[in-house]
Amino acid sequence: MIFSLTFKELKNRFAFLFVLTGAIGLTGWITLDVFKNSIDQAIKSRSKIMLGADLIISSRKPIPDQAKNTVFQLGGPNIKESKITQTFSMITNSQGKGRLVLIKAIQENYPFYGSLKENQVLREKEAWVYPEIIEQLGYKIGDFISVGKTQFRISGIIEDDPSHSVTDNLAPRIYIPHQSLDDTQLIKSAQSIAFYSYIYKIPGTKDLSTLKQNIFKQINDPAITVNTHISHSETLTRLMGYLNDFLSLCSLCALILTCVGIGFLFRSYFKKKILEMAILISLGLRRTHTFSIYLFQIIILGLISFLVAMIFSSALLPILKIATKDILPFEIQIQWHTFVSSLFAVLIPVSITLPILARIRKIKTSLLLNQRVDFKFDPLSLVFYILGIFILWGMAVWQSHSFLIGSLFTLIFVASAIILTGLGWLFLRISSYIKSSSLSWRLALRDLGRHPFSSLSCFVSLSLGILLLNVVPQMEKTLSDEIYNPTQTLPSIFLFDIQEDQKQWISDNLKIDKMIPMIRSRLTAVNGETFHKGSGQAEWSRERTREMQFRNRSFNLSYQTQLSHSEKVVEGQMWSSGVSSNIPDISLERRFAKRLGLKMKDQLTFEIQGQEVEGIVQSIREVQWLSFQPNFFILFQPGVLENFSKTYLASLQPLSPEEKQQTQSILAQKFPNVSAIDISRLTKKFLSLAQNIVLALKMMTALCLLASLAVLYSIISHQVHSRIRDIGLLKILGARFIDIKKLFLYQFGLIALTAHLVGLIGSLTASYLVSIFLFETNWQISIIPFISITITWLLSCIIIYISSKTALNTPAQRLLQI
Amino acid sequence: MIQVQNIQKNFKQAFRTIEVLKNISFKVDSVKSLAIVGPSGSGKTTLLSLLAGLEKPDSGNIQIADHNITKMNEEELVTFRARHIGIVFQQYHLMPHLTALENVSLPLEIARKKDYLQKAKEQLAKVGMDHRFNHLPSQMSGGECQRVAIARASITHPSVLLADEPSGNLDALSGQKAMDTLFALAKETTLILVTHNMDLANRCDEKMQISNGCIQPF
Repeated sequence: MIFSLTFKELKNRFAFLFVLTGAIGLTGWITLDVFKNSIDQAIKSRSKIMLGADLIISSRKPIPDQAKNTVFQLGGPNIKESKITQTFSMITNSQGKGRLVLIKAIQENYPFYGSLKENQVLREKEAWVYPEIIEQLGYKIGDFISVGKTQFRISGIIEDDPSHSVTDNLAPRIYIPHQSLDDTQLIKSAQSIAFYSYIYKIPGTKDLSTLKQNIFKQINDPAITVNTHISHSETLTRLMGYLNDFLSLCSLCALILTCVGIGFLFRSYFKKKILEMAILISLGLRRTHTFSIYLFQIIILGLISFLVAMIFSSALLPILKIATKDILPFEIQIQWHTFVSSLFAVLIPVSITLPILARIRKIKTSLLLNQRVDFKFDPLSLVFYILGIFILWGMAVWQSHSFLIGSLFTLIFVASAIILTGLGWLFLRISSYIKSSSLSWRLALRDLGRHPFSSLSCFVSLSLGILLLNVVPQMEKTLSDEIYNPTQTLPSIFLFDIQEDQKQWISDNLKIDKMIPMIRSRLTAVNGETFHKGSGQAEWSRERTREMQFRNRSFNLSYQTQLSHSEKVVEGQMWSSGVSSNIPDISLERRFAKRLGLKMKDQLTFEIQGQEVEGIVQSIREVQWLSFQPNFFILFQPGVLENFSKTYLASLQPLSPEEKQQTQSILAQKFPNVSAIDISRLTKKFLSLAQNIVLALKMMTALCLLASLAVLYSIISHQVHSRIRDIGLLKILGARFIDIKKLFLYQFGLIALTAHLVGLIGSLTASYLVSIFLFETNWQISIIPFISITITWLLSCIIIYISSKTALNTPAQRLLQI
Repeated sequence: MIQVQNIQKNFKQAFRTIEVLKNISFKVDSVKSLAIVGPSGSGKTTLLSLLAGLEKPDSGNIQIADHNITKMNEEELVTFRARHIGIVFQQYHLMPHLTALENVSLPLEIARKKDYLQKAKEQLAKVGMDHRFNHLPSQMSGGECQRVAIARASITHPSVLLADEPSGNLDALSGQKAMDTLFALAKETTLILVTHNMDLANRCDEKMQISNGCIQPF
């Protein structure tokens, strides 16, 4: 009987809107999840190619056998190993021109993923070189190049080195076979500057992160670092991580929007069905059975939504895959397990109806006689609300792979819902005090106050919808600006190791964009207490892991009088105390300060060339690292570090190929110690990736906006529909069409306008919080939310107008029967 | 005067058409009262809906106060109703979120009449509801709701007052009170009443019986 009653009820407008909202929301969820998984795959495969392996152990001293054995012991059978040794060397050609280069000695099986030269093997006494070496020192294929004490024949030019990233040392490279390294005698003693690494290909599907932690623990040598391919490629991971986190945000927004829409629809449906429920109960049907009928309906509608979403997604994704093949920085990989996992996503919209359904316990059959619906507070509803929040929190953590992000998202959502409900009440209270001589306004304001729950539910649903809808483009703007700002000019060449006596000539004769001193240091104490480095142990969140990795670095210090265009002070003041102060000022980069737990007014002690130097944090800066400008985490005020021995780092303004060639040859002749690195190739490669990521962000935003509009349509049209009987009555009482149209337009337009404005303010606040705490970026205000709320509000008004117009043209008798 | 000529009304239900009114014609003079009686499902309420312009006939004409309402569109019908017609429903159809006073004043408010609240109070006093000004429909009895509905229908002094089973949902005493009120307020109005109650029908100047969609001899 319960089943037959369940199915009889399903042919109505509510069921259609439920399935529409649910299906569009779930399609958004599935599509975004497929994108997210594709990015995960892309990060993994790209980072593997960048490292050439799954795992790397490295050190500045030769790695002992015990460490290698640990990897073999923990990595399982069939593990493959390759040795890499890197060192710097000055290469000089027959005319005496020299360059500082990075010598990278590799074994024959390097790399395990990707390739340096397709189908070519680096044989004994052969070298593969970067094009800069060929251009600047005048070599060609087949020539011999001196590396240390031996000569290598150039057998190939490496046009695209997958292992060369933005954060790597930018010196041009020469690859030589490892068996020839000893002959060069570049690494003769322990004093030689060299980097020793072993890379590994780990068979099977081992959890590399856990393996890394276990190896690190067992080796127990702080001088040896262990990295997986993911942790190694920090920049790529960060960029793709932005996209990934953004997609998590989008998919969660799409899902929550669905919940908001479904919650609103079900609330109205429940209100309409209370009388029928009371009849069923009065006829002897147990309340649990009545509850079951409506719960089954919701589950069935949820499953239908899921099936429709499956059909939509199955049609949409292959089209998207083809359409985005050449424009996205990753290939869309349709994984069917995403579809299955989205079945769990159905749980959230279903769970949102439970607190409303729980009211069945409190339905009084006396309402059949007196028509009075009087609900008292029910603790079970509260339990269901808490359960719903827990399910949402679980989904958010699962989707974002981060306890912090998931919790923050849930917290923002729940806090927003509570605040918006409060604001809604305030709005209704205020509207009840407004007096107007206009008939339509008077009736509209009176109706708002007389339907408090309906108006409030519409207001909260709309404002939450608008909030979620606008968080996405707002975040897109912030992230796009962080990733790629096309207005900035990118430098063409970086100059390293400029000595004090060379500085003046270089400044006077080259097109210097920025020149900044660099002094190596170690942070020894914070506020008088010894600064502890990270343990390298597994941490409870990826944010904490990043922080610990960060603490293990030593730092370059610099000083400058004013900020460059790629940085700005976000807290405090630059050099407020003046040079004469006892303790000098320090300016820290914002993210750096956060990761190290440093704050304003902290007193930092550095060890610089054997001396202790102290400073107080007086300002926090925001730095746009992807501007490719030389910038530093730590700046001292001028007048403190000048007497320490230092080198200079400079960037040159954009140059034509001829100018670049000329500049590099001048420098090679005049200052052979200065490394001039052409970064155009690298910036171009990076910018192309950044542009593609920005495009992907925009595409996802558009998808999210479309899904949101469908939900907003459901809310508005259902709200107007719920008042259709009033239109009939007003017509019978002789209200003019124009007055009825105005009444509805004012009433719902006012709710929509207030909800849009409150939602916009909410979205700006939420996106600010998300930018600062989640993405750790500089919050940027976007024009899109302002345009979008204007459009959605106008659309709302159009929907209200069309719905009321349709009702007005329907005979009044029929309206009374709805 | 109301003149109904050859009215035909069908309803489509699934795959069949139900003929509800078959070629109905009659006249009612001004300031007269007419009772329409007949068994359930005979088409009485449908006829009343057509007279009120709430539904359109499939064919035929309805002339009220020299206006052919069958030729009017929805907007013209609304304006016509505001000036000429008051309706009392069996289900009262009061605005649930408005008080008795607001419900009664609403037609005057819509017509932008001054002192609408004062007039509504006087009207409610006439129907004996002056103690219920600020009560919502859910806080009143059926009889009280019907008296409020009668007050609302008659407050604009329409030339035609249509009432559909006005005492159908009420007990004998409440029904009696409500009908006394209705007849008292409809003294200068053409009243058309649909009812099963023969006592009520006998209070009208004329009676008309409908059966199977046709006028039957009484």
